[in-house]
Amino acid sequence: MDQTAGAGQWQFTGGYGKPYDWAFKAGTHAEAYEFPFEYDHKSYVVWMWKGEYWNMGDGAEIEFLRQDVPLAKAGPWWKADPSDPNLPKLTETLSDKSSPIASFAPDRAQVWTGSWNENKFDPVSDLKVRATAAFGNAEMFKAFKKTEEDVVGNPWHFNSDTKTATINY
Amino acid sequence: MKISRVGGALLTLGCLVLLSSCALVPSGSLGPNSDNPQRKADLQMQRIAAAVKDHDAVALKGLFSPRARENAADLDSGADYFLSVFPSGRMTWKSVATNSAYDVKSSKETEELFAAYTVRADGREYSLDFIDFPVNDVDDPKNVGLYALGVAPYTTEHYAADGTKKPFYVWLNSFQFDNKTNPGRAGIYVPEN
Repeated sequence: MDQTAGAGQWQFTGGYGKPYDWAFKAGTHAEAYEFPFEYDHKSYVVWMWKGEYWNMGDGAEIEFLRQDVPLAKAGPWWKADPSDPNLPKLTETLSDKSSPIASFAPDRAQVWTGSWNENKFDPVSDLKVRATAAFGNAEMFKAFKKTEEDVVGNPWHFNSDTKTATINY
Repeated sequence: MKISRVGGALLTLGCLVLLSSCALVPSGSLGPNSDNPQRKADLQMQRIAAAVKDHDAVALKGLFSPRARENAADLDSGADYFLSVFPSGRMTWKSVATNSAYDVKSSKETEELFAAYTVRADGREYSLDFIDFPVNDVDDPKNVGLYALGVAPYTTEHYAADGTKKPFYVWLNSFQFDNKTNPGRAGIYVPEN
């Protein structure tokens, strides 16, 4: 069964940080990626990971988080703010070696989306994710695009017409 | 080993508790590498700047991982070229961003940094990028340190007049961010000609 989720109150209250990932992934195998950028003197990060959700099966997440300081002053703890007017719409599709096994494309922008398949237990190397971030704020999209295009190994593809960034990993 | 349905339910509940516990976790470090990736990249950048200041090719090459030194086509020429970009040895630098990738397995971790800086030296501005593995316990323990390093004059235009991508940006895009065993060509970027 394909399961999906959005962020709950716990994340809005507590935020999100690598310590959480470390604890959650201690008993499993997962890959995680962080793409920070700065816009309007604030730091943002697109944070994602895929792997085994312990006994919940194969899963993946994409998140959009903020710190109210420039990147040079950002720390390890990020704020999840569902009222942030700059939130992009996030979508993701998780596939095994042959076909999609879980996906989530909520109608509204939100800080966190996750999807998993409780019947699948594949090695993380067999899992592929296609994720998108559709920005409502054109200037923020430009800031993210400009940053990523200057960083070695940039994996993002940008559609300036739809203000959408797409990643396959 | 698969866990029973009841066990699975309990574990799922445990996961939810763990998820919920996020709200209770204070800012700080639980894992060995949970400090900011930008700080780690800045430390490596400081070492690069120190090698540039002293025009020390040995020190610069020494920042590379054993795997990168083994695989780099011509690290000696690369180091000589890189240092020649900064004749006075003086530079100031500012981070653009540092992306990061993690592979976590049974509490072991590989961390890969993709760092971009704007560098000012001798009245000119440059883009400086590097790939660095601060820790690599999952994928390749011999690959800890710098993996790739490049510098080029700063420009906002990534394409030449004929529509082709400029060589430095071809190099930037030649690396695979999700391949932690062989992300691309190790060593130092040297423009052709």
